[in-house]
Amino acid sequence: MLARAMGAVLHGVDAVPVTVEVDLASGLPTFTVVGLPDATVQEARDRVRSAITHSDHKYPMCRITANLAPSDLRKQGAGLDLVLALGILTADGKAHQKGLEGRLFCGELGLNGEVRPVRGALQAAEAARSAGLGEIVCPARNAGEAALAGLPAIGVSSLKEALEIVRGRTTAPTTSDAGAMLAAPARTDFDIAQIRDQDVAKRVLEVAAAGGHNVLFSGPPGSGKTLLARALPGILPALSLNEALEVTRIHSAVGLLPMGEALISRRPFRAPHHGVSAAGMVGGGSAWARPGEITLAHRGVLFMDEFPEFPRSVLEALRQPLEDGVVTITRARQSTTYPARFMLVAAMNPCPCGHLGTDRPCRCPPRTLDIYRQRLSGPLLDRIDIHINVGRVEAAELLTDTSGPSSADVRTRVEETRRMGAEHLRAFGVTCNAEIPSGCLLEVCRLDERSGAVLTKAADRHRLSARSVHRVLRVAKTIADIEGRESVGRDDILEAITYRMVEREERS
Amino acid sequence: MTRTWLPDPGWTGSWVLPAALKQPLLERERGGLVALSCAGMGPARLAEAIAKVDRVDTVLGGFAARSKSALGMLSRLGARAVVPSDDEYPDQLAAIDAPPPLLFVRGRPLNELRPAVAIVGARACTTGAGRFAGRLGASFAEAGLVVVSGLARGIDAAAHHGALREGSTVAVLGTGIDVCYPAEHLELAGRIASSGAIVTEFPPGIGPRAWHFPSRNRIISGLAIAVVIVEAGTRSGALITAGFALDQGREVFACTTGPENPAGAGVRELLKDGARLIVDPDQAVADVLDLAQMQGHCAPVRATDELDLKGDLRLVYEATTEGTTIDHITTTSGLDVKRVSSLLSELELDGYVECEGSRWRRLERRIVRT
Repeated sequence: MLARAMGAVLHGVDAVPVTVEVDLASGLPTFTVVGLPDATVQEARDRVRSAITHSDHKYPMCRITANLAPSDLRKQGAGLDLVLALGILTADGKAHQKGLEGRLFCGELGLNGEVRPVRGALQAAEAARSAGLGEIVCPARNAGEAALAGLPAIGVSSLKEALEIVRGRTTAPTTSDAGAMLAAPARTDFDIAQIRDQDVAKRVLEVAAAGGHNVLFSGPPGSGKTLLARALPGILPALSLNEALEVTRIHSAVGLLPMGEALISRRPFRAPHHGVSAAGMVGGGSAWARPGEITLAHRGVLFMDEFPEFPRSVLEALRQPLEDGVVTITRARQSTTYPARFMLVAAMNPCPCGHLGTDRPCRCPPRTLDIYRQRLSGPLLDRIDIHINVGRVEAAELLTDTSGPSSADVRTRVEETRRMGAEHLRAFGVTCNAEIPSGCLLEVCRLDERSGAVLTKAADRHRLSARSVHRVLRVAKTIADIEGRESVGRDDILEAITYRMVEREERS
Repeated sequence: MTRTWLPDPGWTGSWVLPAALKQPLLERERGGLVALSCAGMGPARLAEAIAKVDRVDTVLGGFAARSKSALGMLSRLGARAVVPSDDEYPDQLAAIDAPPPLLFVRGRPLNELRPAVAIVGARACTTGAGRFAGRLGASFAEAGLVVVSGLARGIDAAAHHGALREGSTVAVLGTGIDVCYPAEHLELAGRIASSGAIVTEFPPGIGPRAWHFPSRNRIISGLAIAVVIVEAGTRSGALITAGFALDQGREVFACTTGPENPAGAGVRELLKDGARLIVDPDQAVADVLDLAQMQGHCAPVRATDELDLKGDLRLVYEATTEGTTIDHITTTSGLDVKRVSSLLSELELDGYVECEGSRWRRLERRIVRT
């Protein structure tokens, strides 16, 4: 009267296999779940009872004990419903234990016996594969996603159907062709060709995309900062399979996988509002440390509009992930590490009234301006390689038709640039120019006498700090890469200097 | 040594430089004057006492003994005491009513720092006015003029910052030479002293008092050949400076502000009363240089309108007018964004253009002293 089956629960963005043991014993009818279940797992008892009853089976009137192992791991989520129900039915003699072996089950049950989709099916399938199991039985709507793990995935839509499979009915497993999904033309939000004028800003986006540089746009309201940021994911190199799986895993774990899409093939674009809390931004929560916006933006773009309006705690919390590409959230009960390698695009007004540097007069007292700028700490700005001012687009210019290259064209150039640079960067263990360690910059850039002289002159005139000089060099390196030059030239440095507006304004 | 420096009771605002101070002083006499000032004797009484005798030594009495330690203290502060008989004491300043009989100076010799122009204005200025003061300061300094101001917040600080970018500047304090008021300008004061000078008539250790500042303002206008008021309310210190400037026969310039800007009320009044209007920094520089030439303060100046720019550099320079965006320059010059960006950057490094926000501006005339 004992049944044993494998399920899985989410821990962070990964799944952990859980052994579920169900025992039926004589005694007063009760259903106890042991092994650190949280509220959602406890509530499974009621769902399981109704689901069994509505699947034309009798719910066993005896003492039911379910044990979830490992017992010291906190289990949460409704993904264990299906395996609990099948465990009870098998223990009650409706199926053989043999049918449960070699498989991992996940799925949430409805009271009518239907199997509903769960979060993290891809991870569950990966967990099953690494546990040496042969296949995964999961909700039909998650089958495509689960199949990406390379394990046969059998989609079921009801408890009845799941029981049939345990009893030995064979079904063709769902398969997913990840390569085809990646190659399918990505639906882009926004094409860079739709942005009129703003040639400088578009150029900056291309440089940023090619070198992986974070960008800060400063400009008056209506200068198109948001549109520019939206155009960035479209010109970044296409996701590799591994990157796409990383992104899919994260989105699956928080239930953000779009309906009908098994694999996320586009780079994510996240634009949290400036009211976001530190936990919402980097991740957190008491029972389950939920991934934050920076993790959801992993391999994509995090857009922060009204940058100085974000709470100081949120801004400072960004510093470490910007550097490391991961964030570790430690709470009393657990510590979780989430990936967070994203490109930051920040946008701000030039001053609180928004008119500084435009045709309209700025009416902000200097003190207010100082306070506004001081909200962005030096260490944070240090992690943003490119700062640029964007101007308002005149109404007349909006009407002139000057469509430039499309996102696809730019992306091709960016991919080509990155491919060329990659070989060089591998020696330093980094993937893009923005990550080149300061110590190696001079070696990488190979400045000649003329470019060295112009850099010294600029550092002197614009009073650039050592850190600023390093950022100028990184950006100049990317510009040289785009031009297909091995060493950084004088013009590259001169252009890179124009992308350091913050330092220039601090002088005056 | 007492630490109170009191205003001279019954000072009428006018005294002449005593003859005794116009003769070379002995070290001990100089030290005695410093000790006397430190002990609380203000400039009017100092001048009055000296005027009665023909040798400074006689007024010093017991203070001659403190002479050495007073000078020692000054040199520890990195400052020196300047009296009218010194070469470094500016003739301009000696010629005003009530010239300070004793100046404390840090930095370069004062007689090197001329011709000078004063920029003063409101502490609580609008951002635009602050930026303009900075541009003015930079333009004056670039033309070889020394910018004099009062190290206060707002316009003063902006003018100092602007001038430091291109040349040197002089700050006249309303406190002792060892006191920084406001305290946040400590770093600025250090930069001013290293390329220009810091001047005060108040002895070391004296903090800011309201009555110090009008007295200090007469030195600001006294050092300069012209005074520019950038933004000032009615009843402001800047207007007091303008008043001194008129008494001392200095030219007064004023900038426009919007008719409803309360911070500009004083400036509008000045303009109504006939102050010279500043249209843009280049015109202001030209006017002040004309003045300097006329008064024989400097050699004839030359405008380098014939720029030695060639090829694309010249093209971009000509496409940049007042407040032009890069996109605009790209269209007019026919070059691509990358090229225009690097050319503008190069022009900026050489001081041909400057950037504000997303707009670039040509610096029309680069005036250099020959």
